[in-house]
Amino acid sequence: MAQQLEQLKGSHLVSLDEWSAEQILHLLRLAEWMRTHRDDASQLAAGSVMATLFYQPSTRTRLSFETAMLRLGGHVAEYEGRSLDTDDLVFRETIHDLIRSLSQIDDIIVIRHPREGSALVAARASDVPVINAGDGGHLHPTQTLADLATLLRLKGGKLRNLTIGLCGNLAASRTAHSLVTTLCRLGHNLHFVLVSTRQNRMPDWVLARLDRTPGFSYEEVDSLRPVISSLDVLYMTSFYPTHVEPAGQARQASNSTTNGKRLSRDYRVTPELLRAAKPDLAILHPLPRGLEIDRAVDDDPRAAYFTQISLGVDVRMALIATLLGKLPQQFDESVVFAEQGSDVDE
Amino acid sequence: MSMSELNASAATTPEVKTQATATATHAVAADEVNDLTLTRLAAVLGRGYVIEHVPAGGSLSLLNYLKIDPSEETVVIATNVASRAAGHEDLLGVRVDEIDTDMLALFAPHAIIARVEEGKPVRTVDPVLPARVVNTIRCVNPGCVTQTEPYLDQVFVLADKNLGEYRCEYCSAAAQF
Ligand SMILES: [Zn+2]
Repeated sequence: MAQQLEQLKGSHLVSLDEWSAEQILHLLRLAEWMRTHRDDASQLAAGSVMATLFYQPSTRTRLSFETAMLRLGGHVAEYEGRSLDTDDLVFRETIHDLIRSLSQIDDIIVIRHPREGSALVAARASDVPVINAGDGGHLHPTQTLADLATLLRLKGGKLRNLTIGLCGNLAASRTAHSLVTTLCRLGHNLHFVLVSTRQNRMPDWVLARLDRTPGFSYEEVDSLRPVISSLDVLYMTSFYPTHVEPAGQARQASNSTTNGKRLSRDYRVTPELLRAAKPDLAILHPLPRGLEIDRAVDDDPRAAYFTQISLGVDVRMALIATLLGKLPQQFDESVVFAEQGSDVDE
Repeated sequence: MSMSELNASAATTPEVKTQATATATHAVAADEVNDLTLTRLAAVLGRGYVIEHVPAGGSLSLLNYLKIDPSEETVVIATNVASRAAGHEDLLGVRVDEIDTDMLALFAPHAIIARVEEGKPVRTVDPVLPARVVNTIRCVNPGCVTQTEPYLDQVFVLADKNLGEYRCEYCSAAAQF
C-alpha cells in the first residue's frame, strides 16, 4: 500500500503544487486500479457523505464527483446553487462560515466558486477534506488529474519522449497552464508545441517553468496545420474560457481570433487536418468545446476527450478514497500499468 | 533635529545635483559626491541607519512602508543625487534603533543599509527577501477572494527568489508595488 497516499488522509486538494510528484503518480495509479476494480471499490466510502457546493454551474464536473462518490458506496449532499447566490450581499454568508458549518455535517466537501483563492479559504475553514473543483480562472486540479490519467492510459503508462501540442486561448486556459506545469514535475523529455494567436500566447511564467525544466523544450506557432504531423498528443482548449461569463473580458479579447461564429482553420481540428496526423495521436479537450473540434472528429479513434471524462470519474474516486483514508486493501500498485511497462516507478 | 541640521541636509541636494550633472561622464566624481552625501547624512544623523540606492524620489514612500513617522523620528533625506551605480538615487537616514529589513528588501531591493554609530557608517546590513509578506501589499486582482471575503489577511509569498517576485497566496496574482 502506498504510504504516500496514506499520508494524504484528512488533507485537502486545493492545488496540485502542494502534492509531491510521487503522491500524484500514486494517485493516478490508484485511479487506474479504480477503473479496473469497480466491484472491489464499491463499498470503500460506505457511510460517508460528500457535500457538493457549486456556486458556479458545471454539470459535468459536479456529476463526475457525485458519481465517483456513489461508485465508492458513499452518499452525496448537493447544496443548491441558487441558495448560494454570491450576488446577494445582504444574505451572503462568508465562505469561511459556510464551510466551517458544513464540515461539522459532512465528511468531505467539494467546492466550485468563481472567486480565485476561494478553495484555499474553504480548506482553511474546514475540519474535513476540501476538494477544489475550480476557483474562478485560477485552478482546477481534478481536471489536470483527469488529463494526466488520460495521457498515461493512452501513452503506455509513460510521460516521456512525447511531442505535446497545446492549442487555443493559451493565455486564459488554466487547465493548459496546470497541465504543463504539472508535467514539468512528472514528465521526462517532453517537447511542447504551443499553438495560438499572438494575443493568446502561453503566459511567460509558464514558459519560464519550461525553460527551467531539464530535457523540456517548446516552440510557439500560429497554426496547427504545419505541426500536426509531429504531435503525439494534442490538447485543445476553448477560445472562450468556460469559467468566464460570456460577456467577460476574455471573450471580447478572443473575438479577433474567433470572429463571431467562425474560427480560423489554423486552430480547428477537422477530419482533413487529421489526415496528416500520426495514427496514435491522442486528442484531448477539457470540454465544453466550442468550434475548435469539428464534431466529425468524435468518431475518430484518436479523439480522447470522452475517454478523459470517463477517467475523470476514476481519478475522483481515487481522490475521495485517499482523502477520506479509505484506501483499498487489495490495491497492488505494482500491477497497475504493468502490461505497458510503467514509467511511474522512476 | 534642529533647523540648521535640516538646512544642512537640504542644501546638499541641489549642490550635489549640479556637480553630478557637470561630471556625468566621470563615474569617480559621482562616487565622491555620493560618499560625501552618505558621510554627511551619517554625521547629521548621529546614530541609526542610512539607506543608499533608494530609487530616486522613492524615499518618502519607503518611509511609509517602514512605518517610520517623520513627525516622530529624526529623518534625513537626500533626493535625486547622482548614483554610484547608475542614474540618480535617494539616500535616506533614519534615527531609529531597529529597521525592518524585510520591508527594505521588498520595496528597495537594491538598497544598501549602513548602520550609523557616533555619526559614522560602521557596517552594512544585508536585507533578505522575506518568504511571506502579510498585510503589506494588497492584491489588485478583482477576482481574488480577498476582495469579498472578510477577515482575510493579505498574504504574498515569494514565488521567485531570483526575480524577487511575489504572488498572492490566494489567487497567485503577481504583486504590484
Ligand atoms: Zn489575490
